Amino acid sequence: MIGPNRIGASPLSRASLLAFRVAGYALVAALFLAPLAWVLASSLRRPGPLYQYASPLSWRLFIPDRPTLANFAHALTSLGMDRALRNTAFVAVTTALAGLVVNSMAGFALAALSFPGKNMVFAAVMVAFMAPFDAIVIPLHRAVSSMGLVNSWAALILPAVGNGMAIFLFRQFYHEYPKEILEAARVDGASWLRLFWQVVLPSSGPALAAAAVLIFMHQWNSLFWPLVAAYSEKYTMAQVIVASQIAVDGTRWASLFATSVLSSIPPMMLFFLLQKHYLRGIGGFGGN
Amino acid sequence: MKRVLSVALTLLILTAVTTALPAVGAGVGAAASAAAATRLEVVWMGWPKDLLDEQLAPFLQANPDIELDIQAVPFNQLFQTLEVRLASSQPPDVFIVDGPLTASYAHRGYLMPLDSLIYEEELAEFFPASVEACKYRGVLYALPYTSSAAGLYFNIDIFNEYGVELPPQKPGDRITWEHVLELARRLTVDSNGDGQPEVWGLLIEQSDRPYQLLPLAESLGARPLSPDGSTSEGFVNSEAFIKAARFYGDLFNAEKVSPVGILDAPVVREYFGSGKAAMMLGAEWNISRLAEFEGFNFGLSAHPAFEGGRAVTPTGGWHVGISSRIPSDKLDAALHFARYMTSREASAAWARLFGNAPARRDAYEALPDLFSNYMWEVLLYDMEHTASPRPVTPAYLEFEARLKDAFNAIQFGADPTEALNEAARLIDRELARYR
Repeated sequence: MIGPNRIGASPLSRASLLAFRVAGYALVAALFLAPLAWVLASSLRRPGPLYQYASPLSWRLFIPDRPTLANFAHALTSLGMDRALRNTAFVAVTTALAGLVVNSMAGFALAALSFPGKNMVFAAVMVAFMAPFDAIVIPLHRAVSSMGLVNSWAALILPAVGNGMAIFLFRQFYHEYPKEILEAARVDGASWLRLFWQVVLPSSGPALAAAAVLIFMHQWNSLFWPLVAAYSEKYTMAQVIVASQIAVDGTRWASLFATSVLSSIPPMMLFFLLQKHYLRGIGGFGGN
Repeated sequence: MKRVLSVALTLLILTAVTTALPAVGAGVGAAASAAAATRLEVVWMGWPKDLLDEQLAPFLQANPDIELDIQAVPFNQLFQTLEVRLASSQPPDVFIVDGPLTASYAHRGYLMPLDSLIYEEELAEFFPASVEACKYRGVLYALPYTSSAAGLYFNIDIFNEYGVELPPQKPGDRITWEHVLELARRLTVDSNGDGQPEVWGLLIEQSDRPYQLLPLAESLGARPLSPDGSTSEGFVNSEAFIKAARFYGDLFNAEKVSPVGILDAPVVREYFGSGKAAMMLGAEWNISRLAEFEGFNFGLSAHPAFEGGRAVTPTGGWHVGISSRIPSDKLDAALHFARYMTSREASAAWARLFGNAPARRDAYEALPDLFSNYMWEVLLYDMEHTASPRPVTPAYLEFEARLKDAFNAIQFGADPTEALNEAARLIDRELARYR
C-alpha cells in the first residue's frame, strides 16, 4: 500500500526508510539467532551455572570466558553420542533415499495417471500425514510387531519411508508438469515406468531436494518411535541421547547443549546444501 | 543446479554406505558374542550414561555370563515408553518402576510376584516404608532401588545480607509454613521497583507435582484418596486440602513471593543455585546438585509443617521390577541383576555418583564421608519418622496427572475450590475404570 505522501519522497527519506527496514530485518534475525548463539556458547562453557549471565542479561551469555571442547569430547566418548550420530545418519539417509523413490512415484501416479478411487487414495494420504503421531503409535507398533520387525533397523526405517507430506509435494510438483511431453513419450511407446525414470525424474530436482530434506529431518528428529520400536542400546538415536541429559533430579546443561549442537550439525549441513532447491520445491506447493 | 544435486546425492549415498557398514557389522558381531551369555533387556531411567556405566561395571565384571542391554529412556518419555513396551508382545525383562506406579503395573499383570523368589531376610535392611511401597495387595512386586526425602534449602548469604535469622538445622526441628511465608515476604526483594523481584522468597523445586505438594495438604490432616483408594470426592477437595491449596496458590498470586510458571525442576534449581531465591523446597539430590555451584553457600532445614498441623514429608523412590512374561531361562539372571542393583554396594555407589537417597540403611553406613553431615541427618530423620508415601491406587498415573493439572491451574491463579472439585470429578471417573 503506497500512501500519497510516498510518491514524491526524497532520496534521503528513501535512504532512511531503507536503513529502517534493514535495522528491522537485523533485529528479527538477531531475535532468531540469539537462542542458537546461546546454545553454542553454552556448549563451549565449562559445566556450571546456566543463568549466571542470563538474568540480568549480559553479553557474556554469548561469549564463554574460557571456551573448551571438553563437553563435545565427553558427549562423543562417554555418552554414546558417536554411535548415536552414526545410527541416526544411517537411518535418516536410508529412509530419505528409499523415500524419494516411493514418494515420487506415488506423487506422479496421483498427478498424471487416471485410475478409479484416485481421489480417495489422495484423501487417505492427506489424512495419514495430518494424524498426530501419538494417535497412531500403538496400532503402528502392533503392525510392525506382527511383521516381526520390532527392534531392528527395519522398524526404524520402513514406517517413515512413505511420507504423506512428500507425496503431497510431489503430486503438486507433477501437476504442473507439461502434459504434452508425457503424451509425446507415450505415443512413442515409452512405458509409464520408463517415462518416469528417464523423462520426469531427471527434471524433478527441486521436488527431490525438498522431499529429501523433509524425510531426513523427520527421521533425524525422531525420539519416541525409536524408544518403543528399536530399543536396544545398539540402535540408540541421537535425540534419545539429547533428551537423556534432562531429568527431574539432575540436568547436565553442558552435556545437553553439546549433544544438541552435535545433533544439529548434519541436518543444518544438508539444509544449507539443498537450500535453494528446497525453497523452490516447497514454493511449488501453493501452485495448483 | 544439476551439479549441486548430484554432489548432494553422492554425499547422501556415501554417508549411507559408510554408516551402514559399521552399523550392520556391529549387529552381527553382537549377535555372535551373545550366543553364550544370557542377554537381559533392561529399561532404565535415562540417567547420565557415564555414571550408569560406572555403577554397572562391577556387575558385568563379576558376571561374564550375563549381557545387559540397557535401554536408557529419558525421564520425560519414560512412563509413556513403558506403557507401550509393557503392553506389547515383547516387554523388557527387567524395568525401573516409579514407586507409586507399582500398583498400576501389578494390577495389570506386568510385574512378576517376588514373594516366593526373595527371602524375607533379604528385605531386612530396607526401610519398611520402601518395602511397603513395593507391595500391592500384600504381595511383593518389586525391590526398592532408591528412596527420597525433601527439606527446605536456604541461601545463607541472602539471609545474612538482609539480617534474617537462619532456619533451624537440626533433625526434627522444623519451622511452620506460616513462618516460611513470613521469611519469604521479607526476602522477596525488588530493589529497582520494576515489579520483577531480583530475589524471590521461596521456590518449590517440583512446583506443580503432587510428590512435593501432597505433604502440605497432609500436614493439615487431609488425604488425597479414601483409605481404600477408591474415591477422591470429599478427599482431594476436602476443606483441609483446599486450605493447603489456597496457601500454595497465594505464594504465587496474593503474596507474590514465588515466581509463577517455572515448572521445570532443573530450571528451578538453577534459579536457586545462582542466588535468585532465598529458599527452595527441594528433594535430597539437591545436596549433591547445589554443591556443583561454585561458592554457593547453602543450608538445609527440616521440611516445614503447618501451625498446629502434623509433620508430614514426601518419600518414595524408584523400584526394580521383573516382567511377569520373562522367559524362564532368564529369570535367574534377572533376579541376580535386581539383587545387585538394590544391594548395599550398588545403592551406595548410586548415592555417591548421583546423590539419590538409598532405600536401605546399610548403604548409609557404607559411605560415612558422604552421609555424616547434618543435611543428610535432617533428611534421614524425616525418612524414618514423618515420611508419607503417595496413595496406593492402580490409577496413580491418571490421579497424578489430574492433580498436577489442578496445582498448575492454581499456581496460575485459578480458584482452589473450583480446580480441586474438577480434579475430584476427573479422578473419580478414572478410578471407576479400575473397580
